[in-house]
Amino acid sequence: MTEFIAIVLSHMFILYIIMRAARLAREEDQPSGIRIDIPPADDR
Amino acid sequence: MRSIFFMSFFLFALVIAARAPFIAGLLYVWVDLLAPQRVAYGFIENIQLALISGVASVLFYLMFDRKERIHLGIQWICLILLFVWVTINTMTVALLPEYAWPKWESAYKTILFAAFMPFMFRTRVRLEALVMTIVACVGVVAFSLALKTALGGGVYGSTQIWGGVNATVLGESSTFAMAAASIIPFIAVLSKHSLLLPAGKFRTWLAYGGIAFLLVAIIGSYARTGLICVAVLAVFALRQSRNKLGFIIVALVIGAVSVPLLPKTWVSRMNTLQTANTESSASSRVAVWMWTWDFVKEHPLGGGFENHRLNKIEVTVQDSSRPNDPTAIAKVTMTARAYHSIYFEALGEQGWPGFLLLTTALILSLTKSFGVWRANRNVEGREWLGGLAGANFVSCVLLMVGGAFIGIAFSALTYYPIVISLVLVNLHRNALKPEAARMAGGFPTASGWSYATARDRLA
Repeated sequence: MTEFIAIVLSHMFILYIIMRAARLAREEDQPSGIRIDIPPADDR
Repeated sequence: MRSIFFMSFFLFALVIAARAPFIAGLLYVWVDLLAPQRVAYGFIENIQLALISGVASVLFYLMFDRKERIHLGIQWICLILLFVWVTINTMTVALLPEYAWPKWESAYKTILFAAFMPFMFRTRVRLEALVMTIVACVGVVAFSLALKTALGGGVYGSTQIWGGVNATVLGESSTFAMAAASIIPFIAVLSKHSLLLPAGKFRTWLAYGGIAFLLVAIIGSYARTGLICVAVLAVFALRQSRNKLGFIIVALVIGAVSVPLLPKTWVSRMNTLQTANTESSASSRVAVWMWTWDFVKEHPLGGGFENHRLNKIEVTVQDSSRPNDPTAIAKVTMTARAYHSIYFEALGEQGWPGFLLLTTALILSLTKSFGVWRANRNVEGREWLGGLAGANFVSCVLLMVGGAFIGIAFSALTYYPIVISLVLVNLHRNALKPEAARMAGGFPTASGWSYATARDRLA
């Protein structure tokens, strides 16, 4: 039982980390987060 | 119950991984460290979680992830060469191929996945997620062991750690103790600099609580390697401490208060460090290392995976019929003793090529992490990078010290510091890009620095 409580609590933490990391990583990958500016084709 | 819980977690994370491919890599790390299919009973035992998460990592990366050019250091080349060498060694040199091939199957996946990881974990958020997942996985094991120890349920020789030795790498007490000690520096850094955990009292107390649980769990593991690792960690903590005298006083007070509370069996176990020459576990390790040295003189290319099964050693131990007489010793013959050292394991099994490749990768990880730490520790806005590099440096030292007494040369724990050092070097190079762009005539835009323009101008 002790072990199961430890498993549940720790996995809630891992899940939080995964979900937050996924969200932040998506924001990083969004165009507004891209730090290399490539002009649109028309402007080249 | 556990099967359902683990499987739900796995499937949920896999769904998220379809949108953020590196999450599949985190799942692979989770499966690798916790082996849920071996510690839970029921339908999950028959599901190839490692295979699914490994394939998902590569597929999702290829299909959905943004590809960026990354710098691959010499450590990375060492990993690839190590993969090539262990394969050639198993095909041509292995003296016990029936035992060597099963270990090769696990070793090559570990090495190749380690070589693949820097492609996935290439930003700060991703690196933090990787480190936190490793911390949390070791934390799962530590949490339950610490509770057992604190509640008085931990007894030397009878406390099973996370399914035991055959379930996962963390099931072996010395390996667990080393891993637990080596994540403490990361927790200390993440408590100050983290994007994933919002700053605040919760983060600080979570870190303090985590470190306390880890220390209790290390005691509960009854591993002498753990004591050595904690001693090394204390030296680094003292080195980093701003108030060294205060640190020493606090450490002495904690020591004085906690020693009487320690189980007597733990104290007597640690005292065996002083009688290593007659204590069977320690003396058999030394005897195996000497056997390995002689073996490699005749077989410089090693004997292949699992070749320790060939050894037959004579060990001096305390005479069990007269346990209270320290002069009463007896000679015992032992066979097929494991290496209990990453160095001798690599040397004996993979010969000098394997040994040199692994140690080169580890030493380079150490030096590169140190370099990144030194370059960033006092740079405003990059303290997090310096901090993580410093933590990885200490973690590498602990692995190299603790690893001298445990045989995990081809398990994932040995390769994580190498992966983290590769990612750190890339993050350091990326961090320098704005400066390079500024110097080359790049300019800031609403979305950041226009590196591409700067690069074009350089060209």
